[in-house]
Amino acid sequence: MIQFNLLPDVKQQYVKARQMQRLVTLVSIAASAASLFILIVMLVTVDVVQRASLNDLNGNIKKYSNQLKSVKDLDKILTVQNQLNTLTDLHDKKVVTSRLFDYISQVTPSSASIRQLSVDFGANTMIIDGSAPTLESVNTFTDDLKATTYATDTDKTGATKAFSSIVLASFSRDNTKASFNITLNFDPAIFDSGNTVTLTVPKGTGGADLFGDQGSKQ
Amino acid sequence: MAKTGITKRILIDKANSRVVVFTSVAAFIFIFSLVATKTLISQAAYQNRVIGAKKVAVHQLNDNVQATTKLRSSYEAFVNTSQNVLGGSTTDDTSQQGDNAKIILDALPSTYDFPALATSLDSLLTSDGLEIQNISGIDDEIAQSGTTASGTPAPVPMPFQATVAGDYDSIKKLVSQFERSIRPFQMQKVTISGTSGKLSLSVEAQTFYQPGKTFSLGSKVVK
Repeated sequence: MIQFNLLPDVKQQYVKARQMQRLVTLVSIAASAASLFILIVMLVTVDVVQRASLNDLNGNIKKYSNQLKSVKDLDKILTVQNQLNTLTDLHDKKVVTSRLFDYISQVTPSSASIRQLSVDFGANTMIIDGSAPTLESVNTFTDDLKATTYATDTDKTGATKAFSSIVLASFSRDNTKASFNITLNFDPAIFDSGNTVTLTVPKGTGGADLFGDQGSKQ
Repeated sequence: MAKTGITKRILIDKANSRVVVFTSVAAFIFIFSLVATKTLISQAAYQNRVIGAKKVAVHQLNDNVQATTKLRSSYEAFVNTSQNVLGGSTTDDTSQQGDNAKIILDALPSTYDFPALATSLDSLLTSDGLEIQNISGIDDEIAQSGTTASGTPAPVPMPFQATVAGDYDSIKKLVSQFERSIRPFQMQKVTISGTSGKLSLSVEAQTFYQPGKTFSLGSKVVK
């Protein structure tokens, strides 16, 4: 079927222009309204809601701060509390130096005598300078040091060596005595205040008269 | 008829002009809103981070307020005792006397005082009839005077050296006294020499002081 459009061209153009105007107006208003709505929502969020929240939080911070500042002697109490906490830690880090006397007494053969004992707890080294009636006693001393083990309340096996790198750094012998200088490293655990340490030394060792009169023993 | 055609053309032009105007205005509003919204979103995100940080601060402050009540009562219980931790009287103010707070501050002073340490060492070293041969150390008063109380103080070592002479038992007792002292003495090097009748003990050791702790409110930059 053939249809004839009897509207003049200008009328058709006018109708199209009106339709386009309506469409553009509608889309423009919708887009503008939507973007303005989002803008207003964000503006309210930032300048009203969040600002009120910040003011509220600032007020609380000021209130609690004033409460804390008004506590009498707070700085002194905090200082005492802090010193007390630190003291525990500092005491735990101390080496139990008094064990040195027991250890040396245990490991030194009865025939030997110590002239000077130097211990560096930072480097975990010990230098023992002394004398013994014979070089054989000195040899026994170094062997015993090498064989000395220790046990702790956490490691009861007693298989850990107490001393290492034991070196007879120097020795000499005259007609009355043998002098020696032994350097060694010790396991820092044997002086650790957190452990109860039991030193196991070979039989026959110990009972020395530490720092006895030099050369008096034969 | 010709006149109607002209009117229609004018109306078409007007409609087209309106389309251009509407589009321009809508584009302006849309772009303005877009830019402004983007800025506001950034600002909202930043303020959210600030609010989050402030909430944490308020929570912490609230916890601290609650804790001060307990802390104060614990402190009073610690201080208001008839005997201090050393078994001395809490009312006197002499050595080993005084309340527990004084004992703690004597053990770990909050101010640097090397002469006071030297005096303490002197009385400790001579307590068993030992003969002091030397006490030395470097008074770091000038450098330490710049150290003020802070929120997170740390212990500062005060190294010293001492040499005493005495018999074996006195030396042994002195070493035990250093260990048992409420003031922490950390031995670094020990040298014992001589004979049991006249031994010499040299120590390189350190004790500590720790600046006081203060309540202070800080600020934090939120990026």
